[in-house]
Formats: sequence, C-alpha cells, structure tokens
Amino acid sequence: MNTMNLVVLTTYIGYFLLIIGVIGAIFGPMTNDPLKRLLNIEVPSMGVALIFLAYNETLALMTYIAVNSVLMLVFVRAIIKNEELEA
Amino acid sequence: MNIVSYLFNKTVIVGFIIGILSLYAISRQKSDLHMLLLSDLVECAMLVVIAAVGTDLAEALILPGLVVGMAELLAVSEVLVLRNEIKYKKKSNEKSKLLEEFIAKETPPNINIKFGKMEVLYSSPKFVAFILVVYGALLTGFTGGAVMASGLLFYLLSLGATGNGISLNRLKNIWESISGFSGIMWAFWILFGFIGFFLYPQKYLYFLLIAGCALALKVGSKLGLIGNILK
Repeated sequence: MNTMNLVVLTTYIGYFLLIIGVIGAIFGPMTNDPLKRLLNIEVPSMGVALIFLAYNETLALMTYIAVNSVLMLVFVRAIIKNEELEA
Repeated sequence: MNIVSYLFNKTVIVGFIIGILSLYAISRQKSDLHMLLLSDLVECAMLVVIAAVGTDLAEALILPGLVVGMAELLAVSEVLVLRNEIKYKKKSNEKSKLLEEFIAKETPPNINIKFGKMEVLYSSPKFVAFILVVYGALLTGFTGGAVMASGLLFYLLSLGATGNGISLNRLKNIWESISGFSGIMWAFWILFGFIGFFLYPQKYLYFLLIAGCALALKVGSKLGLIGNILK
C-alpha cells in the first residue's frame, strides 16, 4: 500500500508540473523572448518524465531524456539563427 | 482496484487540457519560431495520453513517436531557418552549415586564455561520451541508439568548440563510411532479425539479440551524423 501511495504522489506531482508548466510557457512572464519560452518548456517535459516514471515505462523515460537533449540543440540553433538574421 | 485504471481518467484529462491549451496558444501566435516551440508542448500532451494506457503496447508506441517527433522538429526548424535566410537576404553570401553556431568563434582579444591547452576541455568530453556510448551499447534498441547518439553528438560538438575541427576531405570520408555502416546495420536488423523470427521460431532469442544490437548501432550512427556536419 505504501508504494502505491508513492506512485500516486509521483503522478500528481507530474500533473502539477505539466499544467503549471504549460500555463507558464503560454501566458507566463517574458514569453516574448524565444529562449526564455524554451526554458519554460523544460518544466512540462519534467512532468512528462515523472508520469513515465509513475507508469513504470523505463525505456520510454530513457529515450525521452536522450531525445530531449538532442532537441535542445536543435531549438537553440533555430533561435540563434533567427536572432542573427533579424538583427 | 488496479492502479492503472484508477489513474487512467485523470491522466487523459490532464493530457487533453494541455493539448487544448497549447493548440489555442498556437492559434493565437504570429511568430513562426514561437509556433515551433509550442508544438513541442503538443507533443508532450500526446505522450501523456498514450502513457495513460500503462501497458507494454503504450511503451512500444511511445518509442517511435519520440524519434519521429524529433526528426519532424529538426526538419521544420531547418525549413524555418532557410526561409528566414531567403527573406532577410542582405549580405550573407556564404552558405551556413548545420550546427555551425556551436563552433567557437575567435577568442575575445582582452582575455589571454588558450582554450586548446586546457586539460579539462580535452579529457572530460571523452570521458562523458565514453560513458554514454557504453551505456547505450548495454541498453540496445531504440533507447540505446539514442543514448549512444547523444554521446557521439556531445563529443563531436566539444571537438568543434575546442577548435580541433576535422578537414573537409576527411569529413566526407567519415560521412560516407558512417552512413554505409548504418545501412549495413539496417540490413542486419531487418533481414537477420525479423526474417529469422519467422523462419526459425525456436531460436528466437538469438535473432532478438541480433535485431536489438543492430538497431542500436543503426540509430546511434544515424543520429551521430548530425554532429558530424560541423567542420
């Protein structure tokens, strides 16, 4: 029963991070700057990782973390390129 | 009551809330770059809704979804950058390479540091990349390939940042050989792995191992090529 409580708690923390993070990424402060919006988007992705953890999907969690680190490079490249061209 | 069925409704509702919110935000957005960033949020919603099923099937659906989503975002960001380049075409004549921004430009004039001589910049990227590649080889499959590729990417990007780039000719050789290797591994995965399952079902374990290792090497080498495009 105790481990069940832990699983439910992890899932609820995941929900909380997802909803708060999405609201923060959409309406939050300083979202006009793309880089700050990208940093805000990391919060709901942490929530997704917690939900994978609660559902015991190890492979999905590992792949998500690895893919996220590659995606960060791609987005940062697009943002830098855009800034360079618009300046 | 089963924990998965207890949490199913809640997870699906949360997923739909996120999806609707982020789609609404995309519809109100005018800048393309912001749309690209927000479409990452829609992918989060998709993953949560699939994960709510909580079985092995859900996991098997998530893995290709992740890889395809990454490839999609990479392609769309390339298209956006290219379009902006055409739009603001003023004086930039030279063609830009993928991931060129991560190469260090010239060192600032006031500071007298030789980055190429710092020991930590030499040894630590090798160490981290080695750990990631070995761990990816142990994992096998899509996951192992992705972990391995992030190790390779990290090593190649840090190689560019310390200024030890590779010459163009050698780069072409490496590129060709890695993509050939990846093709051979694809053949291993499909031919020996999958067809072996049907021809010799009694020995499925060997074919499973061949398919898993070949898939890991294929994904790892293909994704590692992204980092190889820089000089």
